[in-house]
Parts: sequence; structure tokens; C-alpha cells
Amino acid sequence: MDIIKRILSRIRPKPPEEDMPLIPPLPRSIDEPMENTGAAAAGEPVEKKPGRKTVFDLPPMAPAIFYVIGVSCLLAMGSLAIIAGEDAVRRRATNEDEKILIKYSSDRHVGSPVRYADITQIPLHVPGLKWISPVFRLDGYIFWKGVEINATMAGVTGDFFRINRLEAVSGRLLRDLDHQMNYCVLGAKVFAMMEESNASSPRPGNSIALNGVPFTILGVMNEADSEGSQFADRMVIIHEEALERITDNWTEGFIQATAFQGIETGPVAFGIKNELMKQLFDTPVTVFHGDEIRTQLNLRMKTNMALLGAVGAVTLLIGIMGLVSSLIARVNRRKEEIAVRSLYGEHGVELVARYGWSGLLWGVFGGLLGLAGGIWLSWTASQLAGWQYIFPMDAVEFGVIITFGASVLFAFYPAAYAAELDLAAYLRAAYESREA
Amino acid sequence: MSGAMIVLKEIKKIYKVGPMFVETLKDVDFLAEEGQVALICGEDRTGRSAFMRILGLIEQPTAGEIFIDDENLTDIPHAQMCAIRNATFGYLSDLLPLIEFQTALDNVRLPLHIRGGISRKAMYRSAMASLEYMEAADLATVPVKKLDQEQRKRVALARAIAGEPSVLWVDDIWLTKGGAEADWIAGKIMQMREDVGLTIIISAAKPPAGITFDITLPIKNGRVDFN
Repeated sequence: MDIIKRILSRIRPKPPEEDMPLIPPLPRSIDEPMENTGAAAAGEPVEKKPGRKTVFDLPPMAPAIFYVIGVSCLLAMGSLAIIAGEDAVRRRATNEDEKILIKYSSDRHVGSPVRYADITQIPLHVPGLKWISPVFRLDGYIFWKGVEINATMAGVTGDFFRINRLEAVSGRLLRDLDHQMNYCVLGAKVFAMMEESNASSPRPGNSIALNGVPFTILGVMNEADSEGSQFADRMVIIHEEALERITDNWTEGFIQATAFQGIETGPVAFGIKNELMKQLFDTPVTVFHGDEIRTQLNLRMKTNMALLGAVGAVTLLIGIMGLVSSLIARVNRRKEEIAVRSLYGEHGVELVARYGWSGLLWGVFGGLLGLAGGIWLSWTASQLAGWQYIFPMDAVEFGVIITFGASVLFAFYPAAYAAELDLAAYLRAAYESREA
Repeated sequence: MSGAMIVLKEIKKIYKVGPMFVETLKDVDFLAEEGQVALICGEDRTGRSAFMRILGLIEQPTAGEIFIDDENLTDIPHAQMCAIRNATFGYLSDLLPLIEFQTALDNVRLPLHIRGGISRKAMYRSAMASLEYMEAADLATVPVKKLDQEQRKRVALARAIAGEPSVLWVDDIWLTKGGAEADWIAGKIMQMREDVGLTIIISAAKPPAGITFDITLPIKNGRVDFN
């Protein structure tokens, strides 16, 4: 309670003492000078009152320093966010270590000789922020669960067909065991719709664009047991549900392919599948659609940008406050000069222009310096981190706009403050100060 | 450069000081013919400075009229007042010092620069002529902060006459302090009167030495008081 009382006693104004008049007594006539009840009348030295104080007392270089720091931070953080995002995209697009296995079948093209093709440019995302290859390869090693992949895969034969819809249901990432066993197992229900396409479609080695997505055709397996097929060293086991959807002809071809691997056909193959299926479903992997991945990536980037931008903006705000405060302090220091200029006729707009332009130049110069610093900082960071540097044009444009806008807004305020100087009042005060 | 006739009629000035209204000037009349030297004298806080500010078109009177060369300048727009100040008056006051970070020449050509419409060459010529008149041409390129007090006074006087004013408005404490510097300023003021016929208005608590006044206007408690 004592503490509260003490605080309150400091906040509350003290009541006037009885012998202290609140205002000096009025003169009875105009000829009678006002009674001076102050310290000067008592013969005490009069303490000179300080002039109008600014918000902060900062050194003259403060605006430039604050401004450069602020804009540098903004640019650097924005650039880093962009670079980080771009790097994620780049890594996602080039990571060859992890591959995806897709198995498809068709109930429309039962018994057709199946040709395989590489499917590229389809971004996939595994929960836990692990990016996987955007390249669909039929000899990859991942298993799918649950999510439909809106992808296109081309199989090419004399009668070309394409798959424009895949549905992955379950899967996991590749394990060492899979390599050792020299086969891969699909723990997936893969549903594909293959549509027959143009018979004069490209041949293996060529590129083809399907649904706007470019593909490279890797090769052709004319027969399931064909030694000419580059995929002949892969064994394919299809989930029962998928098997149910295919015909005897297709199954036969499949079993022959299995046999080609030197593994017993039929029951043996399915036996292996059943054992592995347990492992497969232990760590299910969800596959997202490419657009969803892009949306997530964009959101993540935007979040990073917002966070870093907010930090930069706060720093910039501090810089702007410093700029304004210092410019006001500068105007205060140059009151005599403003008075002389006013006396000789400079007024209003001219004074605003004079002091506003100088403030604007300060701001723009500091901002551009900050831009250069930010670009350099982000470039250095990307080099150190081994990221691919992408020039942050967006951030630069944003920085220039912010720099110019802030400079215009906050440089002209002190200038307007300077132009408000009342010359007569200034001279009156100066005269009284001289008399004192 | 020649003088101007100044007439102030029934000048009244009331200031609001806190809750009170204080009448600083009460019906003060004044007339200075072209080329005359006038002294506005009086103790501090008698209304002398307020009168000088009104005479110098720095402040508007509460009532009364101001004529310069028969032109009524009472209640004219602010921008016009600024232009007339620049064209008509040269100001010398210790309250209006030189701009420290500029050179003497920059300071002297300031009134011309503000006036506008004058070529750089013409400004330079006028400013240099003023400095030469004040025997300070050698100081033209020297920054003001490197000048001593006497040199500053010369440059300040040069600034006051650079715009070829009709009226020299002087409210300088140095004039009444005495000494060689005050004598020099007084001599220059008298020389200007002889050379160009300027109308010169001087404000001082007591008549400064070395100047012959044509008119003396003593102000006491806001009124003209010859007693």
C-alpha cells in the first residue's frame, strides 16, 4: 500500500500553497506594469526554460543509421524468405535420391501391351516436410495411400495410350530391404484410367506433353517377359484389389514378368507381398496433389515473408521515428535560420519544400543504401548456405516503394513543422531572452 | 537604392497573455520621411520592440494603419507582406544572426535568392558590391563559423543592404554597447544615409553615439512620451 501511495503522490498534482497565487494579480490599468511574482522578482537567478523538446534526442546521423538498418532488415529478410522458398522448390525439383513407384492398370485396355514412360514435373509432398522427387518413375520405390494423384503417365506402343488418373492408397518410402530383395512391392491400390491416344505418338526417348505436363518416354516393354524391356528387371506385384480389376490376360503377363525375375510365379509372389504389406502400412505416406503442394509451399513462404516482413517493418518504423525526430530536432536547431529566411520573405510552401526535400533525400538515400545492403546480405547468406540465389525483384520493388513512400510522408512532416514558425512570436521570445 | 516614407497611424497592439489582454501599444503615430534617420527609444518592456516589429512588417497591429510610400499595407495578405519585406527592408539585428554553415557570400545573397527572378551573376555582383561596401569582400568565401564578431557584423550589414532596400531596420544591441565596433556600425549607418539616402529606423534603449537622428520617438508604457 505504501508503494501505491508513493506512486499516487507522484502522479497527483500537489495542491497550491496558500501564499502562492495561481495567476499574477491583474494590473489596475494599462499603464501599470504587471506584478512579477516569479523568481526574477525575488532577485533569484531565472532558470532558462528549455525550448520545445523533441520525442527523442538523437545524434544527427541517427536517421540515416536507423533507416539503413530498417530497410536492410526488410530487404534481407524478404530476400532470405524468397530464397529459402525457391530453394525448397529447387530441391524438390531436383532430388533424385527418392523415387516413387507407381503401378497402374487399366480396365479399359485389358490385355494391351503395356509401355512405360517417365512422368516428370509432378511435385509430391510427404508429411514431415520431406520433399520427394517430382519425377514419377515406374522403377521408383514409394507406396501410396489415400490420395488421388492428378497426374498423367504415358505408355507408348503401336497403340499409344495414356493414363490421366492415378489413385494411390498407401505406401512408404524405400527401405534398404527393398533393394536387397531386388524387387519392389506395391502396397498400393493403384487405379488408372488409360485412354488410348494418337497412334502416331512419340517414340521412346522423345518428349511428350500430356495435360500440359511434359514427359519423357523411357522405353517400351512390348511383352511382360520381354528381355528387350528396360523394365524387365523389375518385378511387379499388384494388390489384390487391383488384380481383381484386371483380366486373365493381364494377370498372365504379370506373372510372366515375375517369373522373369527368377522368382516363383503365382503363390510365391503373393506370399512375399503379404509379408511386406505389413511393413508397408506401418508408415503410411500421404500424397498430395501438386496444386495442393504449391498452395502449401506458397502459404509457408507467405508466412515466412509475413513474419520476417513484420520484423523488418518494426525496425523500419523505429528508423522512421528516428528520422522524423531527428528532422524535427534539426528544424529546432535551425530556428534562427528559418527566422531569417522568413524575415526576408520565404514562407509556407517554400520552407516546406526546402526542408522537405532535404529530408526526402535523406530518406531515399538511406533507403537505397539499405536496399543495396539487403541484396548483398541475402546474396552472402545464400552463398554461405549453398542456396541458389534468385534475385529478389519483388522485394526490391517493395523496398523502393516503401523507401520513397516513407520518405515523402515522414520528411515533409518536420518541414511543415518548420514552416509553422511564427516569426513575430520567435522574435518576441528572442527579445525577452536577450533582455533576461 | 533610395529611402522610403513611412507612416504609422494610431497603432494599437494588444497581446493575450494567459487569461489577460495586455495593451502594449496605444495609438502610436510615426512619420519618417525619405532618407531620414529615426530613433525609436524607450526602456525594455515599454512596447518599443512591438512597435519595431509592426514597423518592420513582421507583425500586424491590432488597430491602426501602416503606409510605406503612400501605400496602405494594413491587413495585406501574408504572401504579399513577405514580398514587401524582402523588397523594402534590410534588417540588422543580433536576434537574426548569420547562417553558420554557409559562407559570408551565401548569407549576403540570401535576400536576393529568396526574392527570385534574379540571375546568379546578378546576385553575385550585388552581394559582392555589398560586401565591398562593408569592407568585407575578402570574407566572401569564408564560412561564417570562422568569422569573428566584428567580421560577422560587417557581413550582417552587407546582407541587410544586399537587396537594395529603401528602409534599414536596426535593432542591434551592439549599437548601444559602445566601443570600436559600435562606432564602426554607427559610422557605416551615417555613410549609408549620405551615400544612398536610405530611411533608417533604429531601436535602442538610449541614443547610440555617433549617429545624428532626424526623428526621435520615445515610447513609454505603450505610448509616445516626450517627457
